[in-house]
Amino acid sequence: MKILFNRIIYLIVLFIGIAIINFTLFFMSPGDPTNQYFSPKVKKSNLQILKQKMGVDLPWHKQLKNWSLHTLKGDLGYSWSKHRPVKDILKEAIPATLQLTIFALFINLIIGSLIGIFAGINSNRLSGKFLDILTLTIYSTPVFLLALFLIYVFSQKLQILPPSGMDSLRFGESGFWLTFFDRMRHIILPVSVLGLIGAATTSRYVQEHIKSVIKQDYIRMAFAKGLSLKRIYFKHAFKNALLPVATLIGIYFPFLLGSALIVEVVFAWPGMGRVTFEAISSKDYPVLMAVNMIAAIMVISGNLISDMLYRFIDPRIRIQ
Amino acid sequence: MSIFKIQSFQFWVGLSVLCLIILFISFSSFIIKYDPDVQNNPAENRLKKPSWKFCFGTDKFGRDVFSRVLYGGRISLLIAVSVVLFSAIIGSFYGAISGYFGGWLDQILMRFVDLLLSFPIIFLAITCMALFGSGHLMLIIVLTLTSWMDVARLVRAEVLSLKQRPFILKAKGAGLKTSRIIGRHLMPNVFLTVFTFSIIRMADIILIESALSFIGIGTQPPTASWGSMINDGKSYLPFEWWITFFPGIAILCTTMSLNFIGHGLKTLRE
Repeated sequence: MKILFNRIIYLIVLFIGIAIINFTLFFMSPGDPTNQYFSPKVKKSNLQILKQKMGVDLPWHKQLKNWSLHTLKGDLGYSWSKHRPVKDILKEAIPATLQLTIFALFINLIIGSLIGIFAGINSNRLSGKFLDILTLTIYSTPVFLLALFLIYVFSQKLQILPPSGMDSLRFGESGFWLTFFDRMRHIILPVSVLGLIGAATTSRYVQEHIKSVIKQDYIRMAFAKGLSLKRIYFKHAFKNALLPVATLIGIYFPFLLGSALIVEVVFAWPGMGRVTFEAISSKDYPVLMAVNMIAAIMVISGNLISDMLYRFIDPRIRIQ
Repeated sequence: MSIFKIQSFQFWVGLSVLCLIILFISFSSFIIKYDPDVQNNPAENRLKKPSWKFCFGTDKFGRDVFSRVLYGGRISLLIAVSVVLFSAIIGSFYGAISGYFGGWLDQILMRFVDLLLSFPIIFLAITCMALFGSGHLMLIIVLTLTSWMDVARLVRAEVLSLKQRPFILKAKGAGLKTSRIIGRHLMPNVFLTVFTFSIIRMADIILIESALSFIGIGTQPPTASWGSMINDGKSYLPFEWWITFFPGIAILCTTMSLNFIGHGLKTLRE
């Protein structure tokens, strides 16, 4: 319990650090929010008043204080380009991104572990070597290239899956199952891209572990005792080899969010990545700031989850 | 410990492909027939299929895709090499200092690394590019600043175990200066680790750089880069496939050969 408490305190400090860096980056950037009102018709004195009103003429520490107070209250500011509160934009975007990433994470871990186990056990056979090269190839593929390839095959050539969006336009029809199946049809391609690239990483990781576990004495002992292969692998080898997968979840969060950004842009999926992309093109700083903070929260909680999970599964770490 | 001991088939395939790519890219000015950024009579040569005249076809402005792929490779490789080099230098020294001195200094330095690692790289890079402008130099700076932390962690772990070894203890006992111990005795021993990591890292950097250029905040037009070429070509996809296909294959070959080499080197270390 004490460890958990310490860990949470540490993560909170980390979060504050991230918030300060995030704010400072935006503070240091050239120009200020009043630039968007700049035109020959606007008087300079009016701009000055606007600056005072927005509080952007204050020194760094005062602006930081204002910003953090507002953020803590849940007021994330007002989007410059969409003219809506940032909070509302994120409220729509975050669930969309979570659907994508969590779904992809499951596929990634399940397929990745299975392939990794198979390739690890058969590492000296042709099938293992083939899988080794295949996973390394997928691992080396850019996310957007795989996305475009899948769109080309499944949407343009075979025409069985929609190439973009989250829902189809429908008039007069509704109902839970209809919406559900429609969403599923849309989610398959983006999730496959994210899941496949992640699965390649997972399988390489699992494969390495299986290889090193199989070489250990207790497995040789199990072979010497004449246990069946099934028993050796399922009862003895996999348990130890799959433990590190739990830590992977924490590592995957930044990776997943980054890839999700690209995937969302390609598939026009209305999530955080798409919001970020639009915010960059229109220099919408309040949105960018909020998105960065949310991404950091996700990464930090991913770390916490994997840390706790590891402690929970592996008693050796608990005792240390 | 010579590299000829590596028996991995993948390593040698990767090395030869990479050498070929580097050869093609460095002598690109002698190979190409058309200027990569200049439009060659767009009315006539627009969106031409691969042929003897344009061996990779042309894009919507009539620019030769072949020369753009070669020139784009220059930019991508230049960025990747400089990012990896700078982050290896910064990360090695940071990690070595942190690991060698230990104690509170180590704690502070490593917590700072944790802090930076909590940002998803792409988000941090995008923010910096959006705020301070894009361009090659900016890409190199931003990607270096977001990728030296892993090297630092790696080197620190290595130094922690190395500094207990007799030769370092003896160097300390002989009264050598700390800078000399780190520079002459520790660094050569972490070199192979850092080198292997950097090769694999280079593939990641190429992927990130192409992704940034793909979404339009990396390399700016008309300069060619593999990512931005794919972005240009994606709207012509079902029919004019060559605009997307060739830069895509170029990225894939480069990252794959780097990863193959990296994994071959790993076996050497083991």
